Amino acid sequence: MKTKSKNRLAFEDEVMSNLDSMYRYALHLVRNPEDAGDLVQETCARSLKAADKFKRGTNARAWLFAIMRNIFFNQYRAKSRGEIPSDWTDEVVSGDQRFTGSVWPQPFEMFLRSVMREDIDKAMDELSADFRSVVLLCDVEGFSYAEAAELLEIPVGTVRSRLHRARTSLQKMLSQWFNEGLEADES
Amino acid sequence: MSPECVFVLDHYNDYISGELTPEKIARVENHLMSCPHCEKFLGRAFRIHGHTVGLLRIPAPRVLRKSISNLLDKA
Repeated sequence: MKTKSKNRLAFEDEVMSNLDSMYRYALHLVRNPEDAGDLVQETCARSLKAADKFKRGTNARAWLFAIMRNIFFNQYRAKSRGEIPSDWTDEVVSGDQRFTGSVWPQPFEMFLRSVMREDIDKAMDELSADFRSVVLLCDVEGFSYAEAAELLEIPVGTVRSRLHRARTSLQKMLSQWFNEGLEADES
Repeated sequence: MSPECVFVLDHYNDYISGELTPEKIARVENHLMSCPHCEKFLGRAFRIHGHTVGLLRIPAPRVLRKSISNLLDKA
């Protein structure tokens, strides 16, 4: 059995630790789970060919996303349909712990979380692909404006303005949920 | 609404994104200590943002994780 180098093992760790992010980005690009899985597989296979050149400490996620984006534009774009299936968020994870806690009191939240999935899907679907991209990269994946700008090949100021407008749109579309939740939380 | 309230309104998205300079962060946070309206506004914005992001952060399916793991093992 061939022994793997430290660099190679580090590369594999990066791939596996970024798998959720890659899947979310793939889903955003191709808009259906089956193609998203294929796109992730192809991205991993393509990146493996260059794995020997991988150096620890480099931004592996940005590199993997760039490979995925290139594959998408070369192969998948024509067949992507722009629809989100109803099970898009079936495997929802819990709220982001970096932030200041739940919008709603606990019992209310458990119920709302399940009902809200559909509205989140719809709200994201209402955004243009350009807006969805920056929400996904900056808000969901934590890319800096500069990193997102480099990946998307647009100016940093465009990332900033798209993100701000996208957040405003999402908040408006989901305002009913948040207003009710916040009122309950603050009472 | 004071000029500092306007400053917070203009910069709260970048504040949430962690994209403000240390000087601007200090200016926002200094104002929050003396303005309950802006403190409440920014608190709401943070919570809405955090909750939306949490709902969007879906994991890769287990079958895909296994498939990629196998791909790496065999390569």
